[in-house]
Amino acid sequence: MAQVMKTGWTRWAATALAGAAMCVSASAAAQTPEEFYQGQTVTILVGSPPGGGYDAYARLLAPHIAERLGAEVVVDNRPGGGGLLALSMLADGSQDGLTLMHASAEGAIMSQLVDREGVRWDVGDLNWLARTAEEPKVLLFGPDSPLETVEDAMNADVVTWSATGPADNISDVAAVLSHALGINSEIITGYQGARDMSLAVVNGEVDAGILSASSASRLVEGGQLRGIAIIHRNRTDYLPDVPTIFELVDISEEDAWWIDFRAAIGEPHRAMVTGPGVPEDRVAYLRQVMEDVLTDPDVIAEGEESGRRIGFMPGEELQQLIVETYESAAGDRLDEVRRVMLEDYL
Amino acid sequence: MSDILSGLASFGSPTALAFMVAGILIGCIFGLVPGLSGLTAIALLLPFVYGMDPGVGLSFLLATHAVVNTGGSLTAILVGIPGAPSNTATVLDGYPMAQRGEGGRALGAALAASAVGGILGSIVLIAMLPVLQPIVLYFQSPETFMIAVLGITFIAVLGSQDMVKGLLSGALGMFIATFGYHSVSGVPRFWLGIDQMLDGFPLIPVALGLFAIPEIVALGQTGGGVARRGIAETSLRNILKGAADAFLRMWLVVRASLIGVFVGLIPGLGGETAPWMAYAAAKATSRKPEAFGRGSVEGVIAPEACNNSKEGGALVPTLAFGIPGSSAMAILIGAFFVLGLEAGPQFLRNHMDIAVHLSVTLAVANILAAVVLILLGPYLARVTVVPGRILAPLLMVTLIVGTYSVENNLSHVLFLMIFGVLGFLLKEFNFNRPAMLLGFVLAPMIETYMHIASRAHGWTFIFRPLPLAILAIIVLAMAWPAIRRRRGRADR
Repeated sequence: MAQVMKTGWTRWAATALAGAAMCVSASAAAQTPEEFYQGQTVTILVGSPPGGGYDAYARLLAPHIAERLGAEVVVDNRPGGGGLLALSMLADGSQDGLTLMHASAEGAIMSQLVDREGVRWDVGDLNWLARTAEEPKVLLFGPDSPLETVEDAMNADVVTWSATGPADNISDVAAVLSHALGINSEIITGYQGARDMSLAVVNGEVDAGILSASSASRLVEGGQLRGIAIIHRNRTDYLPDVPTIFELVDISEEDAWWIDFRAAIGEPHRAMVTGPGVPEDRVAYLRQVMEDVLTDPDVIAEGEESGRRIGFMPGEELQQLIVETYESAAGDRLDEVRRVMLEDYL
Repeated sequence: MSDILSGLASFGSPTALAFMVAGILIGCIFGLVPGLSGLTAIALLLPFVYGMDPGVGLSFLLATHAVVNTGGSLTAILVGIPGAPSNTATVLDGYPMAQRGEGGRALGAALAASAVGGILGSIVLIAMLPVLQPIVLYFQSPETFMIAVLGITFIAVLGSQDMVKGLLSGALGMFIATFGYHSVSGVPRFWLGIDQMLDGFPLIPVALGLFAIPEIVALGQTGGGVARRGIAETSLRNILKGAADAFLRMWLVVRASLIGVFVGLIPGLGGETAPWMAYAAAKATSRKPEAFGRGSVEGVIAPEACNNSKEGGALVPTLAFGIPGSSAMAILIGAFFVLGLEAGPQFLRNHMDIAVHLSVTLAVANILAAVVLILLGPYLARVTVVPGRILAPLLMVTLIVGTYSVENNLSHVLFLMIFGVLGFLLKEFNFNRPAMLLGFVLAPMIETYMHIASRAHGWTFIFRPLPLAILAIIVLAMAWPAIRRRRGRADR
C-alpha cells in the first residue's frame, strides 16, 4: 500500500514540477515589458523628505509615467545618508524593474569618486533611464563683499566660502574653481543645507558661495546676492545676463580641464535610474517611456508653471556620459582629484 | 497698509476659514495621538494642497502644524507621552499632576499657556514683518553658538538636585549625538557599517523612547490607571481653574513665550530646545524650584507657552529668506513650491498679504484649538482612569506606528526600543533624562557653530555684542550662588 502511494506521489510531484517549469519559462519568454508592467505597482524612490526638488519632480512625472505604463506609480520618500540610503535600497533590492529612483546623478558620481562610506554600488552599473533636469553652478558674491570681480578673488589674500560638507556639490565646485584660477580659498563647511549656507554669503559671514542656477536666480533677482560667473562653457537660461567663467578669465587648457571635469559631473544632475540587475528589455522599455513623458509638451508646460523646468537627456546618452566622466578621473588622476576636492581648500 | 487689509481679507474668506478649522481639527488629532507629530501631519497633507489658493493652502498646513503642540500637551499630561518632541518637557510636571488626580488643572494650565504663547508668538512675528530680513541677517554663527552654549548651561539647572548625575546624563546625551555624520568633515562617526546609522539617531525615536516607553511600561505594571488613587478631577471647572493658574502667572508665560520666539527664529537651533530652556528658566526663577519634576504647575505653563510661541519665531527666517526655522518649516517651504510660490527673499516683497494672513492664522488657530480642547477636556481626561493594562498596549501601538510614519523607516522603531530600554534604566537609577536630551540636541550645534564661527570670524567672535552679553549672563549665573553665599557671610 505504501509502495503504491509513494510511486503515485512522486509521479504527481514530477508532473506538477514539469508543468510549473513550463509555465514559468513560457511566461518569461512570452511576456514583453509592456505586458509585464500592466497592472503592477511601480515605486519611485526619493532620497529626501517630501517638498524638496527631487520629490517635486518625481510627483510631477509620476501620473504621466503611470498612464504610459498602465501601472500604478507611487512616490516613496526614504531620506537618509543624503540620498545614499535610497540608492542602496535600489541597488540591493529586487531587480525586477518595479523600483525606480529619482536620484541626484551628480551626487552619486561624487559619492563614488570620493569613496564615501555606504557606497556599495558602481555608478556605471546602475541603469540610468533619463535625465530630468539640468543646471550649472554659479559663482556668487555677497552684496557687501569687498570682492567685485573674479580678478579681485584671484588677487585677494584669502577668500572664504560657505558649504555644507565635503563633496556636497558646493564645496567641491568651489575647490575646483579655486584650483583652476589660483584663488587662495578657505572653504568653511558645516552649514546645515544650501539655504543656511547661502544666508552666510548674503549676510557677509563669508565672501563667496556656489549655488545651482535655479537657487541662485532667486537670490540674485532679489538683490541678495551678486551673480558673478557661470561655472560652465555655456550661459544658462536661469541667469541669462551672467557671463561664463571662460568669458571673464583666460584659462589655460591644463586649468580648464578641472572646470570642464566638474561641469561634466554636474551635467547628469537629476535623473531617473533603476537597479543594476534589471533585465535589458525592461530598461529599454522604461527609457522609451521616460523619453515620451519628458518630451511631452504638456508635461513640459506643467513643469514650467510650477517652477520645475525639464532638461531631458535620453538614457543611453546619459549612461555613456556618466561612465566616461567617471573614467576620465580614473588612474593617477584620482588621487589628485580627491586631494583638490576634499583637502586642499577645506 | 493695503497688504495688511488684503491679508486680513484673505484670512476672513469663507474657504480660508473653513480650511483653517479643518486644519485645527486634524492638528489636534495628530497632537493627541502619541507618536504622530506636526511633521507627519504636514507631510501627509502636502499632496492635498496641490491646486489650492496659496493663502488658503498655506494657512491650512500652518494651522494643522501650529496646534499639534497644543493637542500634544494632552497626551503628555494625561498619559505621560509627549504628543510631539516639543511636548516632552511638559511630561515632567504634567504627568505627576495627572497621577495626583490633578489632570484637569494641568490641562487647563497647558491649554491656556499654549493659547497665549501662540498669540504672543504671532504678535511678535507681525511686529517684525517690516524688518524681518535685517533681523535674520543679524544672527550669524557666533550668536547661534553662544545661545547653544547658554542652552547647555541649563543642564546644570535641570540637574540641580544631583549635579553629578545631571552632568553625566548631559554628557551621555552629547556622546550619543556624535553618532552619524560629522557636519563639518562629512565623516560618519560610529556608524558600525550599517546604512541606517549614517545619520545617527533621529530626535523623535530618542525623545519618545527615553520618556514615553518607561511610562508605558510603568503603566502596564500598575493595577490601576494613570490617576493613582483612581480619582481624577477632570470637570470643566477644574480645567478652567488650571487656565486661571496660567493667567495669574502672566509674567512667566510672557517670559517663556519670548524664549520660544527667540530660539525659534534662529534657524541653526531648531525649535526643540526652546521648551527645555523655558522650563529651566522657570525653575531657576521659581520660588519653589524643588517642586519642579514633581507636579509644579509652573513646570507645565512654561514649556507649553514656549512650544507654541516658537512657531511664530520659526516663521521668521522661513518667510524672510525661505530658510526653514524648523523641520516642519522645511516641509512648509515645500508647500510654497507646490502652490507656485517662491519661498525666498522675494516672498515678502511680493506676497506680504499672505505673510499677514499666515500670522493671523497662527494666532487664531492657537486660540480656537485651546477652546476646542478645553471643551473636550473633561471627556479626554477620563483616560486617566482607564486601567493601565488596557491603555498601555494601545499607547505602545500608536507610538510605534507614529515613529515609523515619520520617514517610513523601520530602523526608527528599533531606535525607539533601544532608547526605551535606556530610558527605563536611566529612570530606575535616577539619572536625569531631560539633561540627556538637552545635551543630545545641543551638542551638534555647539560643535558645528564653534567651528564655523572661529573660521569665519576668528576667535574674536566672542566679542560681538550679543555673544558677549550672553557670556556675561552665563558667568553671572554661574557665580551667583557663590556671591550670594559670600554676601550672606558678610551680613553676619
